[in-house]
Amino acid sequence: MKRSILRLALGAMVISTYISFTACSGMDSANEAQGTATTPETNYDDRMEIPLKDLTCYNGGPNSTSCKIEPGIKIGDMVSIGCGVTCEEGYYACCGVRCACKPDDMK
Amino acid sequence: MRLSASLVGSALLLASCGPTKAPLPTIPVDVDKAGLISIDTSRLVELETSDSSMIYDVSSFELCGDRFIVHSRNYLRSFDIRTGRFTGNVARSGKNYDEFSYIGNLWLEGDTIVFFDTNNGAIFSYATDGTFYGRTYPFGMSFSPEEKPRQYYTIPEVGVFSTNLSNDHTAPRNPRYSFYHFGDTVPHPVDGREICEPTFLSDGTFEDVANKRLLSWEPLRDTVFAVTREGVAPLYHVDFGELALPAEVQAMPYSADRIKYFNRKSTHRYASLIRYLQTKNDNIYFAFACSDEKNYLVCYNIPTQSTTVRHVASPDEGFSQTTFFKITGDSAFVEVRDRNNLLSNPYLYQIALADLQ
Repeated sequence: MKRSILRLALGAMVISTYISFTACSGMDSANEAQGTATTPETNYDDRMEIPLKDLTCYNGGPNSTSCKIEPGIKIGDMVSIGCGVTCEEGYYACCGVRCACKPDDMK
Repeated sequence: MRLSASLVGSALLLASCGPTKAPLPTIPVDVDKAGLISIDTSRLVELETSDSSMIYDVSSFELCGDRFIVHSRNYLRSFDIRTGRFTGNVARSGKNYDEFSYIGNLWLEGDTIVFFDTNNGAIFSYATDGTFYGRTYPFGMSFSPEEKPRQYYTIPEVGVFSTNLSNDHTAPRNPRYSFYHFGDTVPHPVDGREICEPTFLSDGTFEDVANKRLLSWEPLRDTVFAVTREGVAPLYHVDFGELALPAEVQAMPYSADRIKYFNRKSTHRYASLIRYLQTKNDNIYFAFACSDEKNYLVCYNIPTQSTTVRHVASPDEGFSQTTFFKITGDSAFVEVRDRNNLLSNPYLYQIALADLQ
């Protein structure tokens, strides 16, 4: 159990590291990639520039109107921070390395 | 120079939030004058560490009889107040009717544990032993993306406020707070602060019942706001002097960008991150963090406009405070971590409020 919590914590830290670089940025689908491929998941090394279409949904996804995610994130000392969205018609909620509303026609 | 930049930047930051009519009162915080509250380790209450009682950091807690009711992310667990022994789950997350999905905020009603579930838009009630009393839907069952409630706050004789979820700019408006008349499900947007990004901390709002308002703060921004049904307005500027985050950083719309700046490797130390602000009598209390990973508690006396800063730790820093603390009566319970064993559950340490003044 303790190991699984440790694994969860480590997973959360990985996600939170991504979030610390990406949350709430690059929301404009017109953003284009600036970097070279370093991760198989996104192909972008500057995660601030991950286009919306490349955002993977760990929570939410097509047909979800809202989602939330709550990893640990380090601000000085350890502090937990989360993100969440609720989306207007025509969009679905996607929570991954950041939280965003993706247009329904963007999978 | 840095102070000037900070003042100019603060003015810019506030101007961007709306018109200001008078200079903002300042809460001065001098980190270098912080006094140490030395932890007596024999008085630390370790929340039991076991396979079934593990928690993360403390998001919030309530003192109910002889139990600590601890909310830690998706856990709501109870511990014996004297020994820290795990006494059971108050509620569990899940999809059944008596299980919650996401705890927005927690409070006590007599001996009943109550919280707002953000995903279900419902208030859940439990006894400390885990007996489920029921759920209610104070805002109805359907929500506009403009004002989907995340947390629920009541000000007696005034009404109910919600903090709201981000709609990621997919709707025309996204007020940070909405107001509801008692018994009414129609939200009224509170003007003054809009949500511009989806990230949030577990804290950020305090029910200032005595003044019939909420107090509000945002991650890595050194401004305290007053929230009434008429609007959100700056109330205090917390001035960390030479250690203040540059105003242009505080003005960044995305907290991830502010966090990145705060955490960056630098020889310069920053202080910011107001957390868990609470009031008691004529004092305002809050925690804050430094980029060197030390945390502090502040007491600001309103009549005398004087500030006291304290750091709670053992002399060797083996045990030291996080940013979480909760005032109960004439005491404050402070979350303390064993810095040599971060996998253990947190500890709680009770200090007299008088020691913070």
